[in-house]
Amino acid sequence: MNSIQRVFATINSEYRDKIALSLTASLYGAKLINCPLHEYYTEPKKYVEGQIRVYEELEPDIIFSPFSLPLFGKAFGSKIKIFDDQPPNLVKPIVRKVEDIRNLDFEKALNSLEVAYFIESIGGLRSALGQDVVIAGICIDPFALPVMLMGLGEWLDLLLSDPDEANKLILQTSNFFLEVTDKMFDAGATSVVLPSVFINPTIVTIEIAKNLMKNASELFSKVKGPIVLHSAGARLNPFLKIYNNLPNVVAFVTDSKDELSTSRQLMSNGQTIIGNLEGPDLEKDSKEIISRKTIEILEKIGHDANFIFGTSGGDIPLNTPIENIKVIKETIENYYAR
Amino acid sequence: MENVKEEFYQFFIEANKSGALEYIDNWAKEHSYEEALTSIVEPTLEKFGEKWANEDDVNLAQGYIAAKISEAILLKIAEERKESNIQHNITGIAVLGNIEDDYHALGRKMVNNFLSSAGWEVYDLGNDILAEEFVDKALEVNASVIGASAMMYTNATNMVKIRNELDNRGLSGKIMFAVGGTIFNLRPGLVDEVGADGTAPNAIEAVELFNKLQQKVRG
Repeated sequence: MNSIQRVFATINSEYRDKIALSLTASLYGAKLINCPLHEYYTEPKKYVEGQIRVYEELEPDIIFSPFSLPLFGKAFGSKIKIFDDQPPNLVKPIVRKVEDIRNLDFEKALNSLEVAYFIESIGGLRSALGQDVVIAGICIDPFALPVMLMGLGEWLDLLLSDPDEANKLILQTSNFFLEVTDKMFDAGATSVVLPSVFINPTIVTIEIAKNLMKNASELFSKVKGPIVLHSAGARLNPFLKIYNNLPNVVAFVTDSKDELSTSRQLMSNGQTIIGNLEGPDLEKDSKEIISRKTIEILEKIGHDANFIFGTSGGDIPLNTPIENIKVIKETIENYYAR
Repeated sequence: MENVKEEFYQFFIEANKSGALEYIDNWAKEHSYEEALTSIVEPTLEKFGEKWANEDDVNLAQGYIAAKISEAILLKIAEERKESNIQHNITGIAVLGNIEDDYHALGRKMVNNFLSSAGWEVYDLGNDILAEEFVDKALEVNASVIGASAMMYTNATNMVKIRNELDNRGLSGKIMFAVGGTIFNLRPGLVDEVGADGTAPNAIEAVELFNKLQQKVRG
């Protein structure tokens, strides 16, 4: 079986030759090709080169497009900073006052260098890696994009104080989201991954989440391919009931703090669970600890037909020793060879 | 009074800022905003802060709205004091900022609101602040506590520079060093790693931490 067959066999509850592996190694590709991050996060060719090395060295079944949501903010004019050792971060949002929302140029953003960077990276990866690999396009969802345009506090303020104005903005960000996901699928993405950086239990109440997701069914039904919802560093389980019946959502990347048996119970449609080894911890944990944590996860859910072993949370840190990542696959293989 | 506090607490849980302010406005008509702060807002914040620290079903929206409610009531108290020419005592002086390379401002702004509500004079330096800038400002304004915030692990490691700066200038024990941000909740060992004097699990609990650290300075 190749990677794409293995992953889709998992999603469709069919026979698979082994458990598929998902490593959030978007950032890590820069280390493998020794590429400065200001080049890696602006030049699609460099990004593709880095991910080809990820595929060769770490052998995951899923390769990710750039995992940097602030770049979507930059597409609109928000200021970001590219660091030496971590993905770009938002420095100054473009919207300073609520009235500025009306001046946002969605068409210009859609044709920006930043959106082109995401799309060309996906296209380059598909050309380089062929049809055997799952390429996951990481996209910002319409509810999180305002954070990159106006900052978290201001977006919360608008949502809670002026829902009508907030809904108008969501309508615009929803159209942008559909256009970008269309481009991602056209470029060769197998699925899109949406990190829940805003609609999660550490940020909003469940009432706010339900209200925001009212129209998500209609929105997600318009997406041209499979969607994976990513917990993005917060527990997913408390909000799984909201996400459970959304169209096109085939899998969830759970958080390392999620109890996986609860996740399985809450996913009544048998969606695939991806997770839940904390990726950012790989830098500090020893190989032995990583191996132990991997086995603990396999003991809990390795038998589940709809399970993909994956790292959860954010990107695997740049300074992670490569042995700490390779030990995951080794442990999984040894576990099933017993 | 317990009913009043419970009703007010529900506004925090529902993240209902306008409801909370209307409630306090009505209450203050018969009493005062100053009294509302001590009798209703502060006990409610304490209860909410404990819940935030101990349970995982409290979220940023609720905390943020709690901070905005406190900020709005504080403004009303300032007006009230101005009208009646009342001087208030300063609890302490603090310098806040996000450490070098960190731009996640929301938590810091919330700490500023809660500290101010508790009578602290706060100098908020903003994002991406170098260690020497923190210490320079603390000396300039005679602050007893420096509070540095970071969200990501990589940025949090920059905080050790504040410890070094304080040590190198012979200020350890004279200016206390508090740290905060999501990463310190996820990795409690990081507090010692960066040489901080303490942390708080959330913005509300930061007030108690700053009070304790100040007591240490004063002996």
